[in-house]
Amino acid sequence: MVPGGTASGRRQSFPGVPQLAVGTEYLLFVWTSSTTGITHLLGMSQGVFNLSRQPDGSTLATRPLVGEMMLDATGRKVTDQAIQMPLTTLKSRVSRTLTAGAVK
Amino acid sequence: MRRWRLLLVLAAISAPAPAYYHFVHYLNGVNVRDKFDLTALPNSTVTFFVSEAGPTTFNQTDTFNSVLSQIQQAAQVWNGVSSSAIRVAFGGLENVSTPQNTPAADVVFEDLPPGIYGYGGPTTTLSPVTPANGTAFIPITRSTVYLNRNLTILPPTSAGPSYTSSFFMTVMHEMGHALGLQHTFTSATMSQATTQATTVSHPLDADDIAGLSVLYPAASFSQFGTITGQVTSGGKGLHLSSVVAIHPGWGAVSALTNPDGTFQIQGVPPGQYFVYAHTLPPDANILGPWSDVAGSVVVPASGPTTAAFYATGAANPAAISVQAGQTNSGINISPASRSSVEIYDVEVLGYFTYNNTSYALYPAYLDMQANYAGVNACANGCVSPAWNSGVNVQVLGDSAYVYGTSPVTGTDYLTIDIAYNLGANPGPQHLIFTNKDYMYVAPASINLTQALPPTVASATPNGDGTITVTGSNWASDSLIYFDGLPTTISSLDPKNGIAVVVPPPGPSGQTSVVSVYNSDSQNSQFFQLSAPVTYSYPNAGTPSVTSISPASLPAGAESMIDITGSSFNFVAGQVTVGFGTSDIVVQRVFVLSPTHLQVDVAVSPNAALSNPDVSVMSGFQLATAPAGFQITAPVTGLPAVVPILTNAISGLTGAYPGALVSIYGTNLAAPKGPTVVTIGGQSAPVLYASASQVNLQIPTGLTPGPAVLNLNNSVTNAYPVVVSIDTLPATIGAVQNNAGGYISQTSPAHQGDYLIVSLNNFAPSGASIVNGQVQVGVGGVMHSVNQVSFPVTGLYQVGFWLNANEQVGASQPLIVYLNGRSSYPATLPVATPGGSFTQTGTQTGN
Repeated sequence: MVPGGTASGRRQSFPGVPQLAVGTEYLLFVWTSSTTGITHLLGMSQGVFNLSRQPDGSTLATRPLVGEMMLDATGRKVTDQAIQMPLTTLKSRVSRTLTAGAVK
Repeated sequence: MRRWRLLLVLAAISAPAPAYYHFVHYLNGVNVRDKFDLTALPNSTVTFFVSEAGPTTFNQTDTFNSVLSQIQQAAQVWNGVSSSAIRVAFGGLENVSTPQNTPAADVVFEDLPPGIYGYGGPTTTLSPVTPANGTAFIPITRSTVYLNRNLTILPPTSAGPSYTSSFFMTVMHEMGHALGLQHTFTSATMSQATTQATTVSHPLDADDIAGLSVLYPAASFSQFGTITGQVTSGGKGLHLSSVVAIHPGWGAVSALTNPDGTFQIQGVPPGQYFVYAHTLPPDANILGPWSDVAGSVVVPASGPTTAAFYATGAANPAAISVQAGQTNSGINISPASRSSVEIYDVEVLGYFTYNNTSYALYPAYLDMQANYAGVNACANGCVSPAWNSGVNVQVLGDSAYVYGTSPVTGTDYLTIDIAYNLGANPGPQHLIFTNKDYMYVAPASINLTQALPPTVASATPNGDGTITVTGSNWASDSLIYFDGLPTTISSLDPKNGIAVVVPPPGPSGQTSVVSVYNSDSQNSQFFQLSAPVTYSYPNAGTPSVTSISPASLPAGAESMIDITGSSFNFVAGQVTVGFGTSDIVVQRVFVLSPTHLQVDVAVSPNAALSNPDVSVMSGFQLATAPAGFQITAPVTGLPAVVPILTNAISGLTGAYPGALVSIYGTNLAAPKGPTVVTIGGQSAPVLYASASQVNLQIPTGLTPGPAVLNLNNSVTNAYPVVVSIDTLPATIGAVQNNAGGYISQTSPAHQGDYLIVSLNNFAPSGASIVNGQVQVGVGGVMHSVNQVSFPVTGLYQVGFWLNANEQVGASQPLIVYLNGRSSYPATLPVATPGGSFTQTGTQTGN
């Protein structure tokens, strides 16, 4: 669920919520509430990576710095960073992180 | 053909942009903004209702009652913007399933993903409206603020518990979105967290005030100035450039440019300003602007540029003088284009040591008692490239200067050494960062102070309901809060850090964090967030609502509602009654006793039929009556009295025994017979009655205070309402000239004279009154006063100058006002210099 949008003659707008464009490819990090069952973007814009095809055929994943207050999994305020890396690198990092988590 | 169409489109989207940045649509040549329709809001007031399904999990000592107190305070802060015509109120609790037809705002606690503290914004129609004044807008029908329902996701050392500044400022920020504001880039409350420099004790900055006031301007907004111009690069207008008017020691006010680069900064307090333009940061996170109503077609921003000051660049920016009600035009700026935004989101940290622990705080508060300080700055999310190519840092203005910078080894921070100039004024100061081809301005990134942050050492009950609070670094205007609510300060010794306070009412088990706020924006949570001093309320019964009468009203009714409670301590000014729906407006709450209230309410004529919950709060005490009220179908012909008595005599204010007043409403008179009114059980002579207005005399025997007003329009009774009867006005005993002579018909005042008016019953004996609270009206012309004195018990004297061209006459009405409340009128003979009047009032002499 991405908050906001237009329906039934009404438009709802929430600054800070990413605007996803039709025709653009994204990699999304999502989170599902165990109580409501609603799936949200993780950290709003923090969980949205734009995917763009490169001349060499590879795919680049990019995500700008998020200026909103962000918290880590334990609730501490974190300083965000813009991210740009090949999609393959991002996938392998996610995989490594998940594997490390599974070992624990 | 194609070229002509392009030009037409550009012309259509080049209307002057307002200050600030709202939710903007470029429609047919007009900048159309999303905003509440003040004519659809009762009393021009948007009320925030809090879902009674509040947070599910709290930090230690935190409670829903404390959360509500913070939301209540945030609404109060936004309500305090006097240059805005919209009022903001806290409406208590609601069941979100209650049907409601009146525009309002909701605060809802939800299960949000990790990393999200909250978000807010408006819901609008898809149909712009154009009111009589011609400024089209898109009406907001409802706004929503979502907050995370789990307040334990945050440890005590970070944002989270409702007593923290972070929670309060998050509520403030999201409420701003709900009111129609987007992000700004001036370190204000509506700036993003990375650069926001406002605090609990300075919760709104100039840009926030301008943003709200531009959207909902009040008459007093004309006291501000305007700056207009164009931002271009390579001869082309830049779209969505942020243009900022900034003054050392103050906040900043900004605007975003139109597609053709034109801009208009409104709401600039008079003074000297530097003006600069900068490109938006990559994480600006603003919505739109759109070229359609539905918000589906975004008009993109121009490419990045460096920042640039008006006229002469960073090394020597030119100041412009802004005057009240005046426009400074032609402020054109031409920043050079760049391939990327090289520096943005600069965060400057200052450091304190307290009890052998170091604290890093943003913005950097620098105590000028030391001669210098070092701060650390990072940018772009604290990644090093911002500083890699070398950077020069300077302070805008002459309060302080940078005498050295050096990278912090192994980090992405830059240390900046700052010293203060002789006579430097305290307040926010702005840093300018420049590398070889890029400039960035960080507004309010350092804040000069004359003292260290305050602390709280103890809070000890005295056994009489008061609490003695001790601490350090207090000022004479320090405020002491229990969680989100202010205490009533009985005595304050700032030098020794001792105060005796009356806490807000609280329930058994309530443990509140005690905080001290200083007017320099510092507060005790700077040092004591992780281990604050707390106060636990003594054991008492659980507050409950025991009766609500009447418990139902038809749509369109105005009525008093009598409410009783148990284990409550109702205190005037600290009670909120909510009827769980925006279709019922609470006009006023009268506290009759610690357990007894009378509340005037107005039910919207278009109200949805419902059974809303009723909530009653007194301080931290809270009780609800589920489905405690009912809205029924409207009753044709029912008289409804708006419970406000307005003095009917021109120039007079106050509704006191014997006064002639007007009341307004609907169906107040009927053809069948006379309208009959009683106030406080006494007959009030009706002088005039129509369907919408009744003029009457307040019974002379009434006692000041709340009184029940009943009206019968000769067909049926209105619901009773409570009105407030004022004390009798002051009386003017004598008027003397500067030589001590008494003014009379034969010894009149003269144009240009200095006069002293003696008044009885003007104010409580010994009350501290400053000149600005008092005005004198002569013949309807208001005069400021030069003197207010208290020579003997019961007597006040007010001195003022008659104008040199004062209206001449033997019987000029003379009225003295204290905080807008008028005295009884007297007559003042005013003659030309040297002139006098005969007994018949004819002037003789000059």
